[in-house]
Order: sequence, then C-alpha cells, then structure tokens
Amino acid sequence: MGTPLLFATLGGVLSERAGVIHLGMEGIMLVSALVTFVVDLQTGSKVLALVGAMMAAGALSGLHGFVCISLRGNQIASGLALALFGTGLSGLFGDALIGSTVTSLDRIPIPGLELIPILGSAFFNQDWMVYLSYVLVAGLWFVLFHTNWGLQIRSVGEAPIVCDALGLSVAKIRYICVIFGGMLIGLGGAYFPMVLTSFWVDDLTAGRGWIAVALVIFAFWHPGKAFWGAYLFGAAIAFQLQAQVMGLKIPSYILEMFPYLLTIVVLTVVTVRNRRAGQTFMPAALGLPFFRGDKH
Amino acid sequence: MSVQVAVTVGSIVLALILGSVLLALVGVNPMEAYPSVGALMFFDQWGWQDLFLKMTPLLLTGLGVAIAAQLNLWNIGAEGQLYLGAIATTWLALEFSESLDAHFMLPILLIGTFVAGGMWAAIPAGLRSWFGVNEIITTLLLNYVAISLADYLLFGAWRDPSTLNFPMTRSFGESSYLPMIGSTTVHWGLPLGILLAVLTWILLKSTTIGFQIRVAGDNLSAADYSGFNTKNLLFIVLVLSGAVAALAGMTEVAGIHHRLQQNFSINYGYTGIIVSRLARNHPIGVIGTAFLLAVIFVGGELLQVEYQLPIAVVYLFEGLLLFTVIGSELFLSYRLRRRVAV
Amino acid sequence: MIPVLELQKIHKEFPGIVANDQIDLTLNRGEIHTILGENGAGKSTLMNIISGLYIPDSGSMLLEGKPLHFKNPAQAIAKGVGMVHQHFMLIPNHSVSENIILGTPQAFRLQKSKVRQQIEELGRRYGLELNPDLRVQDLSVGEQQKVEILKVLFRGAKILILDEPTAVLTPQESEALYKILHQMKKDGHSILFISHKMREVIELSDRITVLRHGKVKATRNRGETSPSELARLMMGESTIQTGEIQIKTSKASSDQSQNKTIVRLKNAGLRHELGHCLLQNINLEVRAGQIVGLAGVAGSGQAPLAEVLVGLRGLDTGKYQFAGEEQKGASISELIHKGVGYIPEDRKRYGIAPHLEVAENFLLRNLHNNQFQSRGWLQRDKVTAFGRDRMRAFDVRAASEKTPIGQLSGGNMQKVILARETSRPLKFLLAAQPVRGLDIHATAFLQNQLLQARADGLAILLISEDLEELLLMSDYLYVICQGSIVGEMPKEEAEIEKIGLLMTGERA
Repeated sequence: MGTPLLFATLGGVLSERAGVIHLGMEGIMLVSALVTFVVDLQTGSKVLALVGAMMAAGALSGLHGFVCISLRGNQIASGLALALFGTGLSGLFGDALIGSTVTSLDRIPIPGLELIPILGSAFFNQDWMVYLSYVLVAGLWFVLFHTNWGLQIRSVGEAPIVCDALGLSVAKIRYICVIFGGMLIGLGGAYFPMVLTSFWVDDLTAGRGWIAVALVIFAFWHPGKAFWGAYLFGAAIAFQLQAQVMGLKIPSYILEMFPYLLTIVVLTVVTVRNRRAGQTFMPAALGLPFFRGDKH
Repeated sequence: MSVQVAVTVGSIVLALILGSVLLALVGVNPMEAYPSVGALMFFDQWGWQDLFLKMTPLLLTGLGVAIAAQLNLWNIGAEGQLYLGAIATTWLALEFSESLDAHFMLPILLIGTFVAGGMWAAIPAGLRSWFGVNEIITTLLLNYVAISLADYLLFGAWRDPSTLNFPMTRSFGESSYLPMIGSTTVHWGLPLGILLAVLTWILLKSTTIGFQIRVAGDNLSAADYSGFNTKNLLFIVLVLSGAVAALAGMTEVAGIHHRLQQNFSINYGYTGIIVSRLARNHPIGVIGTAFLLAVIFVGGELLQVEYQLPIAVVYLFEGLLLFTVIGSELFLSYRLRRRVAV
Repeated sequence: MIPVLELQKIHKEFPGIVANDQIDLTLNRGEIHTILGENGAGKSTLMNIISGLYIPDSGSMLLEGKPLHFKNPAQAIAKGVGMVHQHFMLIPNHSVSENIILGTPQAFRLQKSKVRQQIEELGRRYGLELNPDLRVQDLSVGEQQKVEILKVLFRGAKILILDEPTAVLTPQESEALYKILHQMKKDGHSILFISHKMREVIELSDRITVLRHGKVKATRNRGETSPSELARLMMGESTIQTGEIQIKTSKASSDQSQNKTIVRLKNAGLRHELGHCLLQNINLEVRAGQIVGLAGVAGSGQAPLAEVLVGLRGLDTGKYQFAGEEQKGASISELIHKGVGYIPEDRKRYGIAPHLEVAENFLLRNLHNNQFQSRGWLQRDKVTAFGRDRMRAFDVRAASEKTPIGQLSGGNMQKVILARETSRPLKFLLAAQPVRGLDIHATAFLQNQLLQARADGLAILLISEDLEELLLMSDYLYVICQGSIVGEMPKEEAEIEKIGLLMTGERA
C-alpha cells in the first residue's frame, strides 16, 4: 500500500526541490493507471505498460510545466486543473474498460534478506516495482545531494535569480524536474493496476495522490524521509482495509476517514515542531514563478 | 477591464476547442454536439432553468473560495463544506420540519447550516491561524472526511428503510423546502447567493474589518505593523469562507432533492475554485463566472444524455478551462508589471 | 596600450527614462576606476549592461579591443567579466563552497575535498579566508561579500564590477576590502567600483568618472580633483548654489537633559525562539525634543529592538517604559494609541499595502481614528480628502490620491509613510533607515521634517548604518553590537573612527 505513495512522493520531492509544486498528482496517477491498464490489456507486456504510463505522466507534467514555468501561471491552480483534467480523462476513456481485468505482478523474494524476522518478508518478498522504488530512493538522494545536477536543482528551488545570473537555465532545469518527477508519480499510478487491483474501476487511486502531496511536506523534501513516510501511511491504509476484512466493530465509513485524519494530525505535529525549532526545510522559491529581471 | 474580459473569453473559447479534440477522440462530433447542446440549454425551458439551478451551488462555493482568497488563502475544502452543510441541513430538517412551519424552518436551516459550515472550517482555520499548518492540504483532506461522514450516516442511522436500501434519507417535511421563484423550478437559493456576493463586496469595500482584510491580503506584514490582529483575520476569513460554501449544501438538499442522498454533489466544491479563479477572486465577478461554469455543467449533462458519455466529461472541461485561465493570466499580469515597473 | 574594456556610445532607455545616454568609458589593466553618481544617475544600469544582465539599445563594447555583445550574464562571466552585486546574489541555505561552484563546470559527482582546496587557496592569495563548509546564512555581511568576490574570482574573472560594496560594511571591514582590491589590482585584475562615498572614492581610485542624469559629466585622474569638484559634478551647479538641498544644522538645545523621558529601556533582554540572545541588557533613553541615533552594523540587533519598541514583541527580561508607564507584553495597537510612530526599515515590506490607494494607505496605523470610521463603517470621503490634504502638505508626487501606492517612487512612498505617522498626536517616532535609497532632494526633505518634528518636541530614535547621517542628525548616540549597547556618547564626543571600532565589537 505504501509503494504508490512512495513513487508519487519521490516525484513530488524532485519537482518541488526545483521550486515547482506538483499538486496534480491525483490526476497524473489516474491517467497513468489507465494507460498501464490499457497497454497491459492490449499487449500483455508489463514493461510496455509501464513505459506508456511514464510517457503519459511525463506529457501531463509537461503541460503543468508549460503553464507554471513558461506561462508563469499559479502552480496551485495549475495543479488543481491537472487533477481535474486527469480525473476527467481517466473517467472518460476508462468508461469502456469497467469490468476488464489484467494480471498482477509476481512476488520475487530476495534470497537471504527475506528471512529477516518481520521486516524481511514485508520489504524483501515483493514484486520488482517495489525494489525499483528502493533503488529510486537511493538514486534520488545521491543525485540531489552529491552531484552537480543536484546542486543545480536545489539552487533553482532556492534562488532562481541567482542561478539565472550565473548562466543556468532556470526553465530548463525546472522542466526536467517537473517532467521526471511526473514520471515517478506516474509509476505510483501504474502500481495500482500492476499490483493492487486487477480490474478497472472509476477513480482507481481513490485520493492517494492527495495524501502524497502532504507526504512531500512531512518528508521535508528528502527522499529518505519520503520512504518512511510513505510506508507509515501505507500501513495506515492497510490497517483500515484489514480492519474491515476482520470485521472490527468500527463502521467502515469511519475507518475510511482514518488515513486523512492521521495526515492532518501528523502535518500539524510536524509543522509545530519545525516552527519551534525555527527551521524551514521548504525550498525558498517553492511555488514562485521566475521572471528575469525581478528585484528581490 | 475590457482586456480582462477579452482574455477571459479567449481562454473559454480555447478550452472549448481543446475539449472538442478530446470529444472527437471518443467519437463525438463536436461540430454537431456543441450546437445541439447549446440549443437545448438556452432555448429549452428545462435547459435554462437547469442552468440557474446549477449556478446556485457554484456561486456559493465560488464565493466561499473567493472570500478565502482575499487573504491569499486557498480553501480547497469547499466540497467537504458543502457536504457538511448538507448534513447539517438534513439533520435540522429531519428533526424539526414536522413540528415547525416554513417561517421558522427556513431561517433555522439558513443559520444552522451557516454555523455548522463555519465550525467545520474552523478546524483548518484554527490550525492555520495558530499553528501555521498549510490550509491547502488540511481543507483538501477534510473533504474526504466529510464525504465519509455523509456515507456513514446514509448507510447507517439516516437510511430510509422504504427506499429499498438506496443510500438516501427519507424526504423532508414541506416546511423545509426552499420556495421556488414564481412558477419556475428555480428556487430562492440563487437570489440568496447573489445577495451574499453583494454583501461580501460591501463588507470588503466599506467596513473597517473589510479594510483590514484588504490590507492583510495585500501585505500581511504591513497589517501586523498597523496593529491589526492578522491571526484573527485569517481565522475569521477562512471560517466565513467555509460557512458560505456550506450554504451550497443547504440549497442543494433543501432546494432540489429535499433529502440527503449519496453523490448529490458533482464536484461543486472543487468547481468553486475555478469559479473564483476565473473571476480573479472578485466577489461580484463570481456571479458571472458561476453562470459560465453552470453552462459547462449543463452542457456535460446533456452530453451524458445525448451521447452516453460519463460525467467525467465535466471534469475534463473544467480542468481544461482552469488551465487556459491560468495560462492567460500571464497576459494580464505582464501589463500590470510593466506599469508598476516604470 | 589597449584598454581591457572600452564602451562606446552606450545607450539604454526604459519606458519614460533615458538611463544611459551615449556613454563612453575605458578601463585599463590593473586599474581601479570608480563610477560616481547620485541614485538614479544610471550607474547600476551601466554596470548591468557590462555584466550582461541588460542589453544596450545601441553602442558598442570592446573587450581587449574586440567588439562583443553579451546576451546574458553567463556570457560575460565566460569572457572574464564578473559582478559583485549590491544585494548579494547568494543562496543563504547553501554552503560557501556550494555557492561558489554553482554554475561552474564540475564533475558529475561533486569532488567536495578538491573544491574545498581550491577555495582555500584562492582565499589565501587575496586575503579572503573563509571556511567553505559554513552555510552562507550564518555569515556576517562582510563575510558574505567575501563569498561574492570569491565566486567571481573562482570563475577566473579579469574584470570585476563592485556595486557600492562598502554600503553595508563597517569602516574596518571597508579597510579590509580596500586591501583585497589592491591585491587584486597588483595581480592584474581591473576593477570598476561604484560608490557615492567621497572619501573612499578619492583614496582608492586611479580614475573617477562622474555620471549625472545618465550622461558622463567628466573623468578625472587620481590626485587631479577634489571632493568639492566631484560633488559639484555629481549634483549639478545649480542645486548647490541655491542651497535647497542643505539641511538645517542640528543644534542641540541646551536644556534637553531636562526634557521628559519618553522611551526608557531598562536591562532589556530578548531571546530568539531557539534560545539564543537577540538583545542583552539594553539600557536606552529617548527624551522629548531629542534625536537619538543608534549606530551599528546591519543585523546587530536593530531589528529586534525596533520590534520591541513598536510593540510587535514583548521583552523577556527588563523593562520597557513608555511616557512613564511600564509597557507589559506586546501590543502594537496599544502603543499606536499611546503615540508611537514608526518608519520601518523595509518600507515596501512593512510600511505600505502596495495595491491599495495612496489615500487608503493613510489608514494603516490610523484605523482607530474616529475621523475615518463610524461604528465599523469607513468614511470614504473623509479618507480621500485627508489623503489629498496630506499629500499636498508633504509634496507627494502621484497622479492622484487614488493611485495605488506601489506605483510611487521610493521617495514619495517614504513621504507618505512619514506624513501618515506624524498625522496623529505623537510622542515618539522610530525612524529606521529613513533615507536609504532616496535621492538627495527627498533625503533633505525627510531629514528637515525630522528636525522640525524634534523642534516641536517629538522624541525620535534614528536607526541607521550611515555614520555620517547619524552624526548630522543626532543629539545623542548609542552603538549596538551583537544585541548589546557597547557605547554611548553625546554628539559632541562622537568620532567616526571610534564609533566604527565599537560597531565591530572592539573597545575604542
């Protein structure tokens, strides 16, 4: 349950580190889930399905990038537009798919590691997309904090004016991060038909994209913390589903509120704690369009 | 002003053109669909009455969002506030409409829903005001909570056993029906919305609290240094925003369905964000833009009926419209920038 | 010898203004060439053209005799032209080394230790030693400037442009900078130096070019000019002769010590939320009819002190007495009622609501005034009439009282703020950097107004980083450093050198 959140959160981290809020995650995830489902249904190839999902997600993010970076539109509003547009697209084109099914990915246990008590089977007896997500966590961390690219990405998110004066192309770096970030979000959407549900329903991602938006904040825009955050919330959602299966005496609609209320509580705690510590981890130029010649 | 209107019209036309491409992809000929939908909408009695009915919740949620925007706050929770307003209205109506007549019932519904919506919005408002918690995320997540709450009631305590297990409550007593205007099917929710929009405008322009809101919205630090209590202002504005949006829930259940039922809102709350944005958050402007969005809604419904498309087609058009509107803002802000820069 | 840089007939216009009018300029190898001029004379525009930020409308630029056109700053840097901006172009959240290497060619995986070595080596050569691992936000202003210079040198710049580099430095830090500049000059670098501080210009420069209204007025060699000649070139003959811009001399009335104390801080202390000290054991008095100056390097505690005095924050320790009454806790509106006026340092950020009308901006900090409201309703006619009236009285130039105030020039904006703050009965005025960035006429107008207010019995605390301004205006001076008052003296005993030393925390 945590894996789609993790992919989406990593995508959000990458994009927001460069200064562009990716609020439209829900829309991107829905569209990429749809593309995955369709390609899988047509070709039977999981890899092709994934490539298709990433291309679709990249294209939608490119649209978001165009509005936010080139047209300097409001990033929050553009994210909302993307969420609506994506929901509309997946609803319109997914209508014909309701009722069809695809197969799920197999689990591939990693010899040795899977035998670790409790955590072993949870983390190392999984499908290959889960392992891919681990690699992405480490990879994104390395790129952001130990490479020249990462320095440029973080700088564009902190002070685009400075970067521009030093001859970096703010727009180019932001486009790359928004589109690649969107592709990672797309992986999160693809994970639903790949693993979680074998049949198509309307609104397949059921609000997970919005939780991922919040997760980016409590991960402090850090890939490593995104990992723990995503699995914590994955566990919360799994608990809610388990509780329903086990017939716990809590009405299911009250349980449904649980992940959302938890998100609000954790967000509050994190915000208050950071304020006390006088720290902001937020990239300084997050959400601000860049105009050359702006005075600061 | 004329430039603004021109740019807005341009962005609407662009959204329609882009939408027509997507319609063509699912096998609908837009050259055929647009005129026939337009004719049904404007020249058919059912059509224009439905336009005004759809406009009402959009006006109220749009106004709610616009009120929050005066302080640069994003109320993305209008959908949840609308649900909560509907729940409050339903509770009051089920509880009292048998024993009270309309003279008492309607004010009770109005005030009760307004207060309930305000209290619901007080959660993100308080968190934002006193703990600095980002209201975009909290208002958004509370949407899911409010919808779950409605489902919980509809599948539980409030389900009408006589409806063959459909998730809906029993019908309200007639004293809780919003009256219709003349012999139309349009209820008094629309004039209420217009009145509230005008009142909001007067509040902002002509009162000291409105002045404080305008200063704080323009420059929060300057408001602090003027001795205004900006934390309270943030709180009040967000609460007011939620209270107004909640009234959309009241007009829907008391004006149209006369009961609470599942999925009674077609994203009216989220659409309120577009209504407000399109009007550049101007309280009077939302009257016009709510009508525009109603056109998209009714158009979508007609496409649904005529061409068997899912309701998602409405979201599609909304998303496109919002994109073109934000994109077009560049042209307006550029002009402004150049003027200020000199 | 071919000059390293030659400008020929550079012309640049902005809507309504000719910023640079047919400018010719040469820069030789190993030369410090100063560009002198008032605010708005076109210095910054010219430097931005040389460093590639602006593209000139016409004219040509020759580098080592070869014509070229920069389309952006990166091209200028690549050709060895680097600029140190007045407002530092640094990323506070990043380390010194990250700031320095940003945008330079580097290996994909950052070689952090190699970079550190390079920076330390460069630092040793020019006296710019810094720990490359520190975050920029933890550095002093002087150190941040070193980072800026290192950034330019790291990129191999041969021509350095420094835009008013000493405006934010203490006299001692400025001396250190002069040494660095001499060292760079010896190494064959050429330097364009922008300033309007006469003394340093005369001491430092090999040549001086004076700009006025976007035109070159004259170029003078070292030792062939005098401060008075330069001043005349800079400001124009007529203004000097009419004496219009001179401010009335500040003469302390002898009986000031008998005046009522309006503001008194006793052992005042304030802590940051994180626990470190912002203000420590501050004792300070301002009397009616007195201008008290507060000298200090930027960031020495002036901002928290101002926040306490206007009521944004309450003290953690000690007492704040206002007009004899103890002020408990923080309340801006209460202090407004008691007669506190405030001219904030950052006027755009704290002083105005830019999109509201000029007249409406008179209501900020005045909203409680019953003249403008009755039972919660604004009296719009009275607001407009009042605004128009005050604008006339303070000679505020704007299209009308309904113009959004953000469209006004800095000087006119500042006049509105002063007019607003003095439009209600006032006992105390806190003026933080009231003339920063204003032209000479607006400066004189504001300073005269402050002196007039003092004559009318107002208590004024003047916070400034400009020692000359403080000495000109104040009756009594305090020096603040790292949140403590490190010295105080009546005007007669004040000397620039002594205050400068105190500002840096050294005992005089």
